[in-house]
Amino acid sequence: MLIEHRGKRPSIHESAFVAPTAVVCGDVTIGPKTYVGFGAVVVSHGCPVVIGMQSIIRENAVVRATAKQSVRIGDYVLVGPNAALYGCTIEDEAFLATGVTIFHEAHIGKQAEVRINGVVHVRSVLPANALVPIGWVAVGDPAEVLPPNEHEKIWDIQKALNFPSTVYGVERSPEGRVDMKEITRRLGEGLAEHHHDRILDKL
Amino acid sequence: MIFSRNGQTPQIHPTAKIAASAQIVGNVTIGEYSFVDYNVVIESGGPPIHIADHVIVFANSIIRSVGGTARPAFSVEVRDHTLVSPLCVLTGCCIGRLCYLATGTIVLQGASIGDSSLIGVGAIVHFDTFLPDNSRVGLRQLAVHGKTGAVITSDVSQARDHLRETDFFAAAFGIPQETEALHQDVIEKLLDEVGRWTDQSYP
Repeated sequence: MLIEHRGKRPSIHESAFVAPTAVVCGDVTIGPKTYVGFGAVVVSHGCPVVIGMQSIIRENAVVRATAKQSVRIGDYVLVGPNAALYGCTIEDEAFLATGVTIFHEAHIGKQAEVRINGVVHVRSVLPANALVPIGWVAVGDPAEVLPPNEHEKIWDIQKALNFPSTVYGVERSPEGRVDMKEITRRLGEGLAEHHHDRILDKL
Repeated sequence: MIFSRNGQTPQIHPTAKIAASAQIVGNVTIGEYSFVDYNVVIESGGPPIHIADHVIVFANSIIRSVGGTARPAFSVEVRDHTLVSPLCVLTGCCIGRLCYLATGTIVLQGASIGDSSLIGVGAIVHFDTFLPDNSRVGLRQLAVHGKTGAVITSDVSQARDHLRETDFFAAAFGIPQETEALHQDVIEKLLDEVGRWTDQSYP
């Protein structure tokens, strides 16, 4: 399903394949021979999503650019099923396995590998050829790669990366809390733009 | 798409926004100004699902109520100003107001998450777990039902020790675990349940 959002239509190369139950919405460019699998959702909420050539976005993956952060996926990249990519940059020939999560402003270097259920945190930089093992977490610039039970080590690095400010533009309170009313209000205002979406028969 | 199931049709407030490719099925109510993103599935297997006001459910999440005929019933409630990130799976559970469920959170039958709680990326809140208000479950942690309240841990074997005591299959399917025919019985009950569904797409 192709959607016009905020007046922007997807641009999909004629040799690319987008499955009928995938959703491609707004300012999204998909390069030659790229594949977007069934149930995948590729959405621009303002900034563009650009996917290069011969990349594969597997079933039910979610790729989303925000109002502040664009998504750039290079050539020959594999994004596994149920992966989630937000406002991040993925260099050529990277391998992102099933269920990985790549957060806002993260950067995945050329030929880097994030294995099943791996996480790359906000504003974290995974160098070229780096590896995140199954279920591990990459955090920081350059990223330190840690097992998920090292919560305190992860938090020590992650705190300075300021997730609420990077993702939602809100600051934590001195007690470390976030204001969910403010976050849902801000998100809701942007998401209200979907009321004007138009389903396109074809491009 | 909106479907009625067994004569029950979703009740969606006119100010709520349901993306064109989202699927809302059966005994579901959705409140004011809530947002349901592309390819989300909100499916009642019979028991009610109540999504309150100002709730956001992002792409490819699945919210299901289950049981009620051949097995115990588990309804779903998601209270106001709560954010459900992409790829979450909420089954027969209750989520308080002002909560933040990060990408890929899984919440199972009978679990209850108190107001203003924060559940990290890919965390699992297991069967019958009660989390009080302001709870924190870290990235990929497990929250399980313990004798004196919820146990939150990164240690899978510790979680399994607690899970053994709660007997998920007995509670979710009415079948005690460790019986020879367990999986056959479960499948037969599920197929019996699904066989009773008559779905109709709703204009």
